[in-house]
Amino acid sequence: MPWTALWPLTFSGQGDYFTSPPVWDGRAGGALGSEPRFGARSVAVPQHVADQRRGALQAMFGEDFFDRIHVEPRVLNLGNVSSVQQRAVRVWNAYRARALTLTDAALVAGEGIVLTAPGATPLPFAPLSERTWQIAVGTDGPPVIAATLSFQFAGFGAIPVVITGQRIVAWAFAPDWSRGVLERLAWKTDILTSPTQVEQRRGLRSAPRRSFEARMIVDGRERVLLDLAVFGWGGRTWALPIWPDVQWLANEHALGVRVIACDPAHRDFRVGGLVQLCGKTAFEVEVAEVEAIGAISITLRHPTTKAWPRGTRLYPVRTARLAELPKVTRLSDQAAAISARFDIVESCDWPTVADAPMYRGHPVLAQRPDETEALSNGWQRVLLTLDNDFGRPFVMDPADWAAVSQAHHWRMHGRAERSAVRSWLYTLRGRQCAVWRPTHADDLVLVANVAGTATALDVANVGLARFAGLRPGRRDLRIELRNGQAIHRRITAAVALDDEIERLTIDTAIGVDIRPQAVQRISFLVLSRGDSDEAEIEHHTDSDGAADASLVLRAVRDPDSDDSGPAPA
Amino acid sequence: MAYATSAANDPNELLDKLRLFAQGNGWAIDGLRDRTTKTGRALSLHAGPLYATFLTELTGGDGNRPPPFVGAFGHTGYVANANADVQNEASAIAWTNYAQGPYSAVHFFSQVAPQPYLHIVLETQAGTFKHFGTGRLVTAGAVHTGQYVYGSQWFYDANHINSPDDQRHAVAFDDAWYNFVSPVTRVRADYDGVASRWHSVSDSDTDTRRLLCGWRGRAAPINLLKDLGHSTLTGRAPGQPLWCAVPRGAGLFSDVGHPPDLRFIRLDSYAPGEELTLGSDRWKLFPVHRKNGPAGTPNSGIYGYAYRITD
Repeated sequence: MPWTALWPLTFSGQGDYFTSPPVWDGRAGGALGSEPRFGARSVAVPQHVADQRRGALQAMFGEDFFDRIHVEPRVLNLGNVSSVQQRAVRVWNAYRARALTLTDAALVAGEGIVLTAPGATPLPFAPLSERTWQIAVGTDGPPVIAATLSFQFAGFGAIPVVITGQRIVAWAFAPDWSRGVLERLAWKTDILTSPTQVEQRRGLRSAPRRSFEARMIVDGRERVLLDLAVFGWGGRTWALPIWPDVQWLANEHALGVRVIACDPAHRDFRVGGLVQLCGKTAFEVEVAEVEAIGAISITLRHPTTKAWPRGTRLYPVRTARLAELPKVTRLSDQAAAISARFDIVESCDWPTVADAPMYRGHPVLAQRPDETEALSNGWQRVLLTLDNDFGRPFVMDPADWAAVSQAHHWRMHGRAERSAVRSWLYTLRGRQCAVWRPTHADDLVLVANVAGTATALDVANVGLARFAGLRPGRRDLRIELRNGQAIHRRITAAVALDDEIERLTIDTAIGVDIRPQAVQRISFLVLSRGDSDEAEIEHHTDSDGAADASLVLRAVRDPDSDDSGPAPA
Repeated sequence: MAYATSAANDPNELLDKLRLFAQGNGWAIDGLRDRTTKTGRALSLHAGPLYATFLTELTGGDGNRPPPFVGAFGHTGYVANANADVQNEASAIAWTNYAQGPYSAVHFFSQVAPQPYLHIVLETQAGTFKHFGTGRLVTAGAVHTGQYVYGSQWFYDANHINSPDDQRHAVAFDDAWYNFVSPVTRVRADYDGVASRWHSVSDSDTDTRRLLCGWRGRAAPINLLKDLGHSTLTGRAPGQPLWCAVPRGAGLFSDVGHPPDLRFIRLDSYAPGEELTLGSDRWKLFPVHRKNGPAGTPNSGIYGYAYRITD
C-alpha cells in the first residue's frame, strides 16, 4: 500500500495546518507605547529544568483558593443557648510554600465561653497546616452573647470570628392539668367600613401573637427552684415547652444520641426549633435543637448530654417571656400553686386549610359546629339616626342589609382535629379573611323532584322572595345530600308560586337528579369573617385528648361579581 | 469602596449612578452626553490608559432582542466630538438587551490597579440578571493591551428562552454563539507587532479576529470545567478564570489572559446574590441570566458568574 493511501486516516483533511497564514491588515496601535505595564510577560524557567519551554502561568481555581488564610466558620450563630454548646473553628494556612506565625488568638467579650486552643501563641503554622480551636459556650453568663475571637497572624490584619447567640433557660415545671391550659392566638386587623357595609380589611400581623396560661403546683426543691429562677431570671427569655404537645418516649435513649424516636405529626416541632426533654422533676431537663424531622423520629443538631429513659416527656419548645410575673398561692410551707402567663416571642406559623371545599374563591367551613352548648345567632344592622330631640327621629338604613352573626364551636379530639381547627384559625387570620359558613340549619325544604339539568328548585315557602331580596348572606345555598355529597349554588331569582311553594332559580344546574327524600339539609351559605381578632383554645388535656375553641363569625358583603378570584374583602 | 449596590429606574439613571460610582473609585470621567445618532446617553471614562464609553439606547431591537439597551465599547484617548459614538481605535459596541427599569438592584464592582475594570450586574427584576462592563485582562503570553468590553444578550424567543446552552443567547465571555444577536464579548489583543486588534466571538472558524473563551462551546477553554459541580464534601464550587484565546494563524491559538476578579461558577449550591467566602476574599455570585426557574421564563440553568469584592 502506498503511504499516500493512509493520508485520510492520519490527517483530518481539513487542512488546518497547511493554510498559509492569513494576511494581517492591522496598523500600529497608538496606545501601545503608553502601556508598558500591560505588555508581554515572560516567565523565568530555572536552569536545571531540562525542557526550557516558554509560556505564561495560567490562573486557575487554586489561585483563588490557596495562598491565603482560611478561617472557618467566620460567624458562629449559636441561636438559643440552653445547654452547653461546643463548636470548632478551623484555621488553615493555605499558603503552599510559606510558614506563618499566629501571634495572638484573643477572645473579646467572652464571658461564659471557654476557648481551647491547640497551643500557646506564638504558634507556628507550617505551609498547608490546619489547627482547630474548640469553643464551648455555657448557659451561665450574659443573656446576649456577642463575642469576637480574633486571629492575628504576623504580617496580616486580624481575622475575626463573630460569636452570637442568646442564653435561654428551660421552663421545666409541668402544668396542673385539672385546670387545663389556655392558649390564645391574637391577630390584628385594620378594618375600613363604608356606609354600605363594604369592608377593606388589612392584616397587621403576619403571624398571630400566641400566649399560654397555666397553673402549676410545685413542691419541695422544685418550689424553691421556681422561686429562684423567677427571682433571678424572670426578665429573660425562657424555653417554654408547648405543654399540650407532650409525648412520652417509648424507648430508652442513651447519652449522646441524636435521633429521638417519637411521633412528630401534628405537633409544634419545626426544623431549627427547640425541643425539651423532661424527667420526673424540674431538675432533670435538657433543651436541644432540631435538625430534621422524620415520620417517626426527630434528629437533633447536637447529641444529648444525658441519658433519657423510657417515659421521659418530650415537648416542642417555643421561646417565651413571662407576660407578667407569676402569682403564687402558698398552699403550705412545702407546696405552692402559681399561675403563669407566657407570651411567645417568636412567630408561630401554621399551614392554612388546604383540603376544604372551595366556593367562589373562598373555603367552605363545612364541618358542623359542636352543639353541646347553645350557639348564639344574631344580626348586626347599621342604622343612621338623626334625632334633634323635639321632632320624630329620622332613621336611615344605608346598607339595607344586616350582617348575620353566628357562633361556631369546635370540640377537638386528638391531634389531627386540633391541627385542622388551628388551620381554620390561621385561615381566618382573626378578622381578616372570609370563609363561607353554612348556617348548618334546615333553612329550606325541597318539595319537588329536581332534574339534574334543571336550574329551578321548588321549596317550601319561607318568605325568601319577600324578605331576603337575594342579598348577600341569603342568596347562596349549601345542599347536603344523604349520600354525603354537598352542592353549593347561588340563587339568581326567587318567586313565590303560592303560600306553600317558592321557586328558586340557581346559577348552574345541580348535575344530579334529586328527590326530596335524598336531601339531608339545605342551608344558607354566608360569606363570613371572624368577629374578633383573638381566638382561644382551651386544652382540657394534652393533644391526645380534648380541647375546645369557639368563635363568632360575622357576615361580610361579598362582591356581586361572579369571579372566582379572591374577593376584594 | 470597590463594591457598591444601588438602585435605578431606567438605563439613563443607571449611567448616572455608574458615573458617581466610577468617579468615587478612581476613574476619570470624560463626559456624560446625549447621543446624537440614537436616543440615549453616553458616558465616557478612563482609568490610566484604559478608555471606555458606556451607552444607552432606549429604542430599536425587536421582540427577540427587546430594548432598551445598555452597551460599552473600548477605545484609546477621548475625543470630545459632537458624536459621542466616535472614538479612536474603538471596538464595536457590546450590547446588553432588555435592560428595562426600574431595577431590583444594581451591583457595581471596580478596581483601577493593577488591572482596571468596571463590572456591572443589573438585577432587572427579582432573580433576573444582566452583566456588562469593561476592563483589562490579566494578560498572558505575548499580548499587549488586553482591554475587554462585554454585555449580555438573551434571545427572547419562546422556544429558546429557557435553554441556557442555546447558541442564540450571547453570553459574556462565552463563544458558543450564532449570529442571532450581536456578539457581546470583545477583547483587544495586540501581539506579534500586530496592533489594533479587536477580537470578538465569532461563528466562523476562519475568522482571524475570532475570540475563544467561555464554557458552552466544545472548543471553549473551560468547556470541560462547566460540568464540574460543587464539592459533595463542602458544597462549594470552584470558580474558573474566564480564559480568552485568539488565533495565531495556522490553526493555532494563544491564551491572552482572563478578566480580573471575574469567574465562571456553577450555582448548584448557591442562591443568586449569595456571597462566597474564600479565606479573606468575598465573591458575589450571580446567575448568567436567571437560575433555573419554570418553563417559559428566561433560564440560564446553573451557570453563573462570581465577582470578587476587593475592598
